[in-house]
Amino acid sequence: MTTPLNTLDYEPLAYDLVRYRDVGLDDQIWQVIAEAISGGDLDTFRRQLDEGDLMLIATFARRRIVKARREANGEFLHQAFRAYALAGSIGEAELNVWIKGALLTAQDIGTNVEELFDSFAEIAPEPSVDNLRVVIDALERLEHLAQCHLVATETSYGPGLLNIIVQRDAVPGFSISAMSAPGKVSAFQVAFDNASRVASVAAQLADAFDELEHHDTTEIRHDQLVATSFDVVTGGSFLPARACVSFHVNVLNGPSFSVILADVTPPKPATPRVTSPKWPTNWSNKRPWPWVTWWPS
Amino acid sequence: MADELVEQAAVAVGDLVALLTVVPDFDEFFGEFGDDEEIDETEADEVDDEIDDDPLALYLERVRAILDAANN
Repeated sequence: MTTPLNTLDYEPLAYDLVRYRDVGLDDQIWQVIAEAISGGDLDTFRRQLDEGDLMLIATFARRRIVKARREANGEFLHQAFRAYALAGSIGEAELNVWIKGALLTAQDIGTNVEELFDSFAEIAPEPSVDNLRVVIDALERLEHLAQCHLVATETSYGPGLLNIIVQRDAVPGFSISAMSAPGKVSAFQVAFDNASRVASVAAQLADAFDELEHHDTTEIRHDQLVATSFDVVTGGSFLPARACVSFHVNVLNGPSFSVILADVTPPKPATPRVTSPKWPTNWSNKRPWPWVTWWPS
Repeated sequence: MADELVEQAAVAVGDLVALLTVVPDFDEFFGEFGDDEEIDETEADEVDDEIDDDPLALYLERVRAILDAANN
């Protein structure tokens, strides 16, 4: 047995929450969710959910959170929480990123968080209800989206959200405040300066590729500038950037490629060692960067 | 080293850098021709001639225009 969700699938660009656009499928999914909830036999429904269904529900919930922010409408947050509740168990990442982001959004747009909790608790399994209670009880420690690994973006599509990647790796020389307890793998969040224009310019770039015949882009994601792509010497695997995003361009009749866009405000030199610190207009990745000696190691 | 394995092109305007990287065709690298398979040299030359050695070049002007506009 499968659920009616099994026949539904988002178009690739629906996953792009930076270039958010309304799609009719959201309402269709909500209708299925609402009918399942009113049907009452939630355990049977949950047993029929496969991995694809759960991904569909999570995507629906994330899109509703973004829509709630865009329209300052708490009803969409209620729909997101009912969707999570129907799914049953919520992964740690979903809880720490999107559920927390939704609760901050609720505070921002004046939606009652306790009413959201009630909306969830009415149908969710007990362990999930307990997890959400813990998150809500700690809500006063949440002050901004960055704590949820989210960044609010502003593009020609209007407000959006970008999920910030978190690296779990040993980072020699990284700030001790970002290190986890001894014996554990350290974690740090890759920077994304909210003031950067990167998201907006990336949206324009992606749209420009979409306009080309036989070219389709994927969603815009947070990314890093890999050092080995450039003829530079650095102390780590990635180059420092104020903000960096990427997307793929799938080409029907040619090689597909990825596009990484970064804002790499070069640091000012203490003692200039080259004649011109200006970014060369004819710069290419084949040439060494003139200010390579200024990059922090 | 990355340059030897994949096609890349970059455009920089102001503080913005766009890096385009062709997604490698791993079948071409590893699977299309088995070790035991003999490749006719003439056929191989024809294949080489057909490969566009700069597939990203046609996009760079478009990318630069957008970065230019973003900097003005």
